[in-house]
Formats: sequence, C-alpha cells, structure tokens
Amino acid sequence: MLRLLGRRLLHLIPVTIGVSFLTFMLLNLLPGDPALTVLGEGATPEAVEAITEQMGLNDPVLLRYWHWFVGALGGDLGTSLNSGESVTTLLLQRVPTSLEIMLLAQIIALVVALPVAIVSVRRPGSLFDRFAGLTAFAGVATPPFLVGMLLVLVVAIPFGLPATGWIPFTENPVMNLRSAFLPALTLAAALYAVYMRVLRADLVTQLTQEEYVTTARAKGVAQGTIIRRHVLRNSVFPLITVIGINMGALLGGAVIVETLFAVPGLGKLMIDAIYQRDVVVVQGAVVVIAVAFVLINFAVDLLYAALDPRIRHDRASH
Amino acid sequence: MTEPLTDPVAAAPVAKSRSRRRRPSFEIVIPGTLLALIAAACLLAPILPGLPDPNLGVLNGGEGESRMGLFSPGHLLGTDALGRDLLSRSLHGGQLSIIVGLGSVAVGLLIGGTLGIVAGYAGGAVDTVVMRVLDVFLAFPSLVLALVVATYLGPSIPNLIIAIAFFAIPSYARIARAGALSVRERDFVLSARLTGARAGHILIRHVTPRVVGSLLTYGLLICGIAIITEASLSFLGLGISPPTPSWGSMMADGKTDLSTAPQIVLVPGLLLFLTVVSLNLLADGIRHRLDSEGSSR
Repeated sequence: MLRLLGRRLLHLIPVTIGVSFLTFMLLNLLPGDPALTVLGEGATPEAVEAITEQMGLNDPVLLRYWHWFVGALGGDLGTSLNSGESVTTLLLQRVPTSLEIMLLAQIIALVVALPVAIVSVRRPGSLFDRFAGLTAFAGVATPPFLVGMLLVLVVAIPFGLPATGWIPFTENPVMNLRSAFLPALTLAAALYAVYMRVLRADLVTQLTQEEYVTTARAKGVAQGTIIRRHVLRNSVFPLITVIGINMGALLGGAVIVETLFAVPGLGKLMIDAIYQRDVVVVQGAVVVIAVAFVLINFAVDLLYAALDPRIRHDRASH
Repeated sequence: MTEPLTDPVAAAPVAKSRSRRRRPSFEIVIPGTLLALIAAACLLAPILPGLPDPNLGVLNGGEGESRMGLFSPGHLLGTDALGRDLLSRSLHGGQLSIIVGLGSVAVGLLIGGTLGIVAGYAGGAVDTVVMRVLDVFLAFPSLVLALVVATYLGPSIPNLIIAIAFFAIPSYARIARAGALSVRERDFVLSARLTGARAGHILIRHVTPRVVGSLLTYGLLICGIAIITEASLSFLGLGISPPTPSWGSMMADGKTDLSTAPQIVLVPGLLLFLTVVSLNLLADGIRHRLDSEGSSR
C-alpha cells in the first residue's frame, strides 16, 4: 500500500509541474500587454515602461515562470491585474461555493442514479428500463447550459424559485440551499446519466456472469436481496472510478453553470478574469482546477486500493 | 465519356459484396438518417428557397420590439430580438457545428492517433515520454483546456478546431497505443519485420489498418463532445465572433427572453440535442455491430 502511494505520488509531481508550466506558457504568450491591463488604455509610455519593469515583464518567460512557481509553492499566486487583490485570497473566497454546488450535484446524481439502476436491472427490457435508458442518453447529449435553461423554464418560473443570484450559507442557510438547488440540479443531470449507465451495465454483467450470484440463487435468495447484499457492493468499484473520471466534466460544467446562474464560484471567477484579460487570476484558477483534478484522481486510485484487497496485494507483491 | 457510377459491370462486384453482408440494423439506420437530414438542411441552408439571410434583421420597432413569434409571415419559427430569422440562423449555425465537429475530430485523430501508434509500436523511452506528456493534457478538464487555448488563439474557425481538438488528442493516443501494443507481437508483424520491412512501412501497412476502426468509432463520440464544447464556448462568448450564427451564442442571446420567447433557446437547443444523441446512438450501434461480427468469426 505504501509503495503504491509512493509511486503514485512520484507520478503526481511531474504532472502538476507540467500543468502549471503549460498554463503559464499559454497565458503569458497571450497577445496584449499585462501592463496595459493594469493601467488601462491610453497610459503614457513612461508609465507602461515603469510598471513593466516593476512587474518583471522584461525578464525571460522561463525566469518569470520560476518566480511564479516558487511563489505558488509558498501559497502566493500573485496579485490580480485589475483589482490588485491577492489571487490566493480570491480563490479561497470562491472555492467553497463551487465545492458546495459540486457536492450537492454528486449527492443528487447518486441518490437518483442508484435506485433507477437497481429497479432497471430487476426486469431488463421492461418499460421502466427502456425509459431510464432514454433519460441517460438524453442526459449525456444535453450541454449543461441547455439543461440549466430548461430547468429555469419548467422548475424556476412555475414554482417561483430564484433563477439567478447567490445567498451565502453564513447569511441564510435555507436561502443558500434554495439558490444552490438549480445549479446543482443542472450539474447533476449529466452525472446521473453516466452513473446510471455504468451502474446498470455492471449490475447486469454481474447478475448474468458471476458464479456467486448463481450460488445465491440456488440457495433461494431473492433477487432484490442478491442485488442489495452482494452485487451492489462489487459495483461500488466501477462507480468510484467513474466518479473520479467525471470530476473533470463536473469542473468544466461548473464554469458554465456558475456563469448561467450568476453564482460567485471558481468558474465564474475564471470566466470574468478571461473577459478582463486578468492573466494572473486565470492562471491561478486554471492551475487550481487542474491540480484539484489530478489530486482527486489520485485519491480515487488510493480509495480503490484501500477498498479492494486484490489490488493492494497484487501491486505490493511486485 | 466515362461514368463509372452507372456502369453495370463496374457496379456489380460492389453490389455482390453488399448482399453478402447482414442488412444494416435500425440502431445504425435511424441515427444515421437523422444525422444526414440535419447535415443536409444545415449545409443546404444558403440555397434553400424562402429562407431569409441569417444576419439580416428586420427592424420594425425599437430595441427588443423587433422580435416576431412562431409562424409569423416569412418567418416560420419567428425571429430573435434583432428581427433575424430563427430557422435560418439555426441552420446556418449548424454549419459551424458540423465544421468544428468534423475538423476537431480529424485533427485530434491525426495527431493523437499517430502519437499513439508510434508510442505503442516503439515502446520503451519513446512510449514513456509521449504518454507522460499527454498525461499533462489529460489533467485539464476538457472545457477548461479549450477555454484557455481558445482565449490564447483568438476567435476564428481554425483556432476553435485546434482548441477543441486539444482535449481529444490524449484519448485518441491511448486507444491507438493499446491497439498498436496488441498488434506489435502478432505473427504478421513479426514476419514483416523478418523480411526486412522498415518500421514506417509496418506502421502504415500493418498496424494502422487494425487501429483505425476503433479510432473512428470513438471519433463519433468525440464529434458529439466537440459540438457541445463549441456550443459551450460560444455560449460563454469565447467562440466565433458575432454576428456569425452559432447554436451556443444563439442560446446565450435567448437567455434574457427565456420566459417570453423560449423558442429562441429551444430551436437551436433541439437541433444540438438531436445531433449529439444521433452521434452517440450511431457510435453505440456500430460498436454493437463490430462486437457481434468479431464474436461470430
């Protein structure tokens, strides 16, 4: 287990450095002068020259990356070109909001996908099974902003729910959940579709191919009990993998959903910074998102090993 | 004068081999037909009779007053807030989706497929370096990567294609690599190597044909994701510049009138949905077909 952890950690370091390097290079080669973003158009050449020197923009790009990287290791991601605020502070303000929405979305998706998949496999090919399959197909093929607007049409407008805006949890927990509901539901739609399909496929495979299922049937165990007690436990593994893989889609979806519903999260911060050409903030947000994605997949791998002794021992014996 | 298509002698062997095959199943025919219909309508939009210019607004009133409802005279599906024909804009917007979808699949497949085949066949250090570098790209959520690249390159169709193709390259490479790895040790590759064939020849003549099938099937799925990504970028205002119609930017425009004129969002939304669903169903259908053919052999 420890060796597996060590090896995965070693793999994590080059990927993290690569991600930050790539982001830095792309954004620093952007057309447009960061000094002008700070001063505004129409600044005098002397002022531009002074601020360019002060920001170290005359240094070679590799040296600038090195300075940024050393700062990032110490938790300093630079200051916003527009507001002059610390990027780390900005990110820390925004991350909890995004996390809340994503967590709610995961919960909604799992709470719906699990029972739907279980009922589907009890009678494969039934009307319910086919309908559930259709909803899953639709969920995958609909972009989050379309899902969001459809939800506004059929849920928010008829029921008088707030369609945009955000109320912080610390201000009013009930209103906070109300404002988080539609964004979370929007994100959950695509996740539900993926989870439902993976879970159903895995349940079907196990029910038709595994010998322990045949044994349980021979003993006279009811179908429902077989699914609940035996099959579902094994299906947790593919589900965990898929949850990890889909964190990327979830993070991307959060960018859109936060923009659509005017939720002040990490994604909205990044989009606004892109509009304003605030390179330093975009950089910080993208690196945080990418590193979070890498870390989550790392955690998924570990969880996998922790839950399944076969993987743990197999890897350790090498 | 040579017209090979109508020549019965030349057509005969093709027809014979067709009849030996199984008839195409519904799961391939239905989404395929739907896709063909949508593509034809979008690509033929400039010459369809009775379809107004997509960028020509009919201003009859002040700001926002120019919108016309469904089944207005001359505008079957009405117009947007600037008086521009909704049906015409939706079909023209589809052209962009088709170009970007196919373009990014082609670019991603070419670069990713080549990298994967070479890495898988060569093995060793080449394999490690290529796959590690691609791991970095895989660490970005696809939309975030496309956002950064699109911002960096600026709005134009080729740039959109590159920005969207980026995220697919690592996945193509992995599929191609897996295929190349499995072929590498087979006897026909070994015998080709023993007869002194060069690596390039083996890659092109023996390895590539056995990887292309799975890559193309996967390409259908990627095409759907690419179309959604393009729409998402346009929705965020980072796609093609206005007034060129795009499904994503049309839906962004319709956002403010959602309660009074939902059709502005729903028409391009439905087209997008049908296109992506058909692509997914088609990929599923072809995979089933390939699986069952593989097992019956």
